[in-house]
Amino acid sequence: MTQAMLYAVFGIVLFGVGLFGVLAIAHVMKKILAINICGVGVFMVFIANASSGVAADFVPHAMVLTGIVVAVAGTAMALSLVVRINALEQQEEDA
Amino acid sequence: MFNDLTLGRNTQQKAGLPLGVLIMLVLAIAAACLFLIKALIDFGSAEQPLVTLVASNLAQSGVDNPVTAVLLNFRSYDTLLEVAVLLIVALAVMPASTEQSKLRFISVSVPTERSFVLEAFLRWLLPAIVVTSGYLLWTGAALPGGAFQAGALLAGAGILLLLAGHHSFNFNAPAARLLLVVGLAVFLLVGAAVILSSGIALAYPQAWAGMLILVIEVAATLTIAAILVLLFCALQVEPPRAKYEGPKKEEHS
Repeated sequence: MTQAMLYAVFGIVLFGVGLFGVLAIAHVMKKILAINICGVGVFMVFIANASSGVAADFVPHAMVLTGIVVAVAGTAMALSLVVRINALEQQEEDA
Repeated sequence: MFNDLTLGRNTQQKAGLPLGVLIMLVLAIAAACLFLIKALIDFGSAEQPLVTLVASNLAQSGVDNPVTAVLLNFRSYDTLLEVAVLLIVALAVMPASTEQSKLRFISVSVPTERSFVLEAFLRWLLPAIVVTSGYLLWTGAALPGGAFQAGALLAGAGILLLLAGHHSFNFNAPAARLLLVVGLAVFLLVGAAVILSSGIALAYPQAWAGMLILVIEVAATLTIAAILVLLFCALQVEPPRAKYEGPKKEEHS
């Protein structure tokens, strides 16, 4: 088993851990964190596979770079929804 | 404030899943992971036709860094859509009211709690961050670096500035709105303008490619930095009870 393969295997494990979090944890913030862990796992598999050949493949590198930015944007979107839900629940409790 | 935040309203949903379901879930995910790992190991090292494709076309891309060449030339649609995604998220988290659009982008005030260490540190750090960001942007043509790294670094500078408390950003100001869209606008303009010479959108003419990529990257860096700072600003939530004390009127401009 090469080093790159090890990284890819642990990327899959990270994805599994994140998937468990998404499905099993009810807390919304932790769910968002779990989705991020899933995403990191996918990025790790991508990057590890890119370096498994003779030369490093640059297309996955560029795609992961794009993916990181989109993941940040998605997380911010989810967090803003959480803030909104929290505000609405607060309103409901106050009423 | 998010200590007890779940989507379910009733207590049963808040308590989480029963133990049996959790064990089943763990087993199912473990089996799926093992299957994926086995598939990965069986797959071995595949042929990578893209490596030679990128290497043989690198000379035409206008830059020497293969990652930048892929991002902004070979697969520039990805990056264009990524900037668009950032803009959509920025629009989604922007404050809905437009009443502040007359105020200035950056307003200065003396914060109630001053952090002298951070303030003194910022005087040294901010210029260095801006210069490093410019360096990363420029060096992205030949070495690891580029618009995203430079934009993220600039956004870090903006967030540090916010944390020091002297400056606050108003993203409804015209200048801020310009910053938020300039990346996508320049990208689209350049992408459309090259149709005149090459006939295909986003297919830069070889002689101009390096220049056009730099122009797009400068605009994208500003937009990425502005949007990341906006995301940070928009998610800074006041304590839940404080917001019912009436709207704060702050007119520093």
